[in-house]
Amino acid sequence: MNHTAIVYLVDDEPGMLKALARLLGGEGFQIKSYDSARTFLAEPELHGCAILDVAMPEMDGMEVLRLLRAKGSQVPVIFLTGHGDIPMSVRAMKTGAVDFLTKPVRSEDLIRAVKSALDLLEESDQKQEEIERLRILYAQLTAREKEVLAHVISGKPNKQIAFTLGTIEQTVKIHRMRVMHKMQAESIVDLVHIAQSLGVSAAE
Amino acid sequence: MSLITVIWSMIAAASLTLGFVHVLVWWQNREKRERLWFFFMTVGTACLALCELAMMKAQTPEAFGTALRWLHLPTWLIFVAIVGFILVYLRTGRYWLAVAVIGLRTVTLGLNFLLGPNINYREIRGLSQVRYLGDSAAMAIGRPNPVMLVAQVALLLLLIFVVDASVQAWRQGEKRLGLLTGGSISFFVAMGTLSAILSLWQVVEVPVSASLFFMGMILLMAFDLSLETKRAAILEVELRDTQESKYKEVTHLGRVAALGELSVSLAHEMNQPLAIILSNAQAAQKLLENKTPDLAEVGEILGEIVNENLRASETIKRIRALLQRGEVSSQILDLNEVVTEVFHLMKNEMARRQVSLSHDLARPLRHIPADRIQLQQVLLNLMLNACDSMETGSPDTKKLHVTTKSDGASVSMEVTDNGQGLPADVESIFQAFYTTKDQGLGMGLAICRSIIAAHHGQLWAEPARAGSGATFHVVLPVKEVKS
Repeated sequence: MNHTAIVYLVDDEPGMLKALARLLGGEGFQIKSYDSARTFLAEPELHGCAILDVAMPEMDGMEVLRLLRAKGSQVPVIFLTGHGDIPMSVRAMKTGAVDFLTKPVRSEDLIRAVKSALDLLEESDQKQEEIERLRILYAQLTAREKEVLAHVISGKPNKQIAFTLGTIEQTVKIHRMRVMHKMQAESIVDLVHIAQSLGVSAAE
Repeated sequence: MSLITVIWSMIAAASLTLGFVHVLVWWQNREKRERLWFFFMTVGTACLALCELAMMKAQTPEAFGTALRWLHLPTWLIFVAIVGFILVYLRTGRYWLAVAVIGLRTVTLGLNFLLGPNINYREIRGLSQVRYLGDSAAMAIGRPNPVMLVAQVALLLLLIFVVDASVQAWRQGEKRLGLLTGGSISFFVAMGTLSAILSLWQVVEVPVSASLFFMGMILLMAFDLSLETKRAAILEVELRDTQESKYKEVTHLGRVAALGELSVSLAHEMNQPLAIILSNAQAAQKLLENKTPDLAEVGEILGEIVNENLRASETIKRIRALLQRGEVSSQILDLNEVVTEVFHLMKNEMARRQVSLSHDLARPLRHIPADRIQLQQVLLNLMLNACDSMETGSPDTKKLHVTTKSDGASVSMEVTDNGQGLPADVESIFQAFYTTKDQGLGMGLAICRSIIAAHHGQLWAEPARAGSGATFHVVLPVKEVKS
């Protein structure tokens, strides 16, 4: 579990905030409570998961999630609602919520949802780190090597790549080996995956 | 004064008195035409009695003859009145028989005034004094005129008409009417007829005293009519009770409908405390799993559970009060309390619809006699309508304002919105089944108006002073109005 992660509680009902804070605090989670959507959205940096009440005055939970995503925050969101129906839950999931719970919520369900949200967060954190690492490796490639990489992942044979780049097959082979080495790829398939996660597109 | 004079004068006075009582009933309710016929009958009987008295106390054969001639006029009136009464009151009787009776009696009347001295005698030679009721009475000595058979056939026809009508009434299930009214009329008409025939044909030495029998008939009929009056009064009370229970039913349905519109918010209002209670309770369970639980924290949690529980039961109480099909009870109350109570109920709904509520309640407000629940219902409806009319607006513009104030003999309440406003024909919104909503029944405002009317107050609408919306005014009197 990610121990620096915080559970953000947003509900207009102070009694509800307090009860949830007690419940999750008792489970060892770090809690931050907000009694309005505005104060929550004013938070500059978020790290953790958010539990949002759907029915709030001024702004409902769905709107909060939309604004969060617009801000670029990928914080996993759990919705809590007093009167959930299927259309509402579908809408919530489509907006990108990780879970949709109805009040009164049993502590087990809530805790499970928070845990899986935080796992998701950790996973995405790890993925982020991995991408960061690959980006550094990619930055070390020369312009020619990047060109060769783009051709390699498009699945062309060395001979054709050499023809396109106006060089000989032997040179392409050397470039290719260097790319594999620098990118720490163990196979062509691996290299394709890495290129994908970096957003490098294959050459025409 | 002789006994005969006393008795016959009393007959005249008594029947006139009864007649006037019933003609007054007819005057107030023109549909009770049987009362008018009854009145004619009493007038006829009174005149008949006076003619008979004049005959019995006649000094000369001429005076006797004149009195007997005039006696046929009230008799004719009684005939017509009996026929009219039967037709109107029993609603039976054959028309051709009625026409025959009245026709024949009219012919009798004509002949009576054509032939001298009257239809009954060709000539009256003299008078004889007979003992009658311990007094002396004059009787004619003369030749009876066979033409008077016409009069007696008319009497017989009348008897047939009444008996026939009574039997019909009896057959139609109107047993009491047939037996008592029809029976008594038949009996007394028969007796009067018999006595007159016997007397005029000089079979018995008893003066003509038909008015005695008609008086008996009038007494019985008056008794019957007063019973009918009583029954009508009972019916009226029953009708009013039915109307009252219908009113109760309709207002109750209106409340159920209004609460139906609130159901989402009310469910939330009930659910929220339950959610808080559950989370708190589970937090407390978790705390108690520790070896050294924080009992102060547990105490605080229990305190909050109690508060939330009370909040939920408060809501339940409010809803139950509105859903009850209770008696309409007038109590002296503060309109502001009614308003705050409705605000509680509407709090969530307003939040859900993103309507902002402001109020301006005059304190202290004069107390008014009213039914708490019904006034709540009116305000609930007005506020729900206001929210509906602002449905399409943006949250910043959705504003609802409620004010209360006293002025002199009344207390008033205003509900103002800035929604779509009123239709050109403002009064149409208070009509039953008027609605602008897809799922509305269109009874809300109609019921509100009837509730306020039952409180002797007024409910009307006009365009809001500022903006596009509407203002609904409710004015209620401070003094109890006796209905």
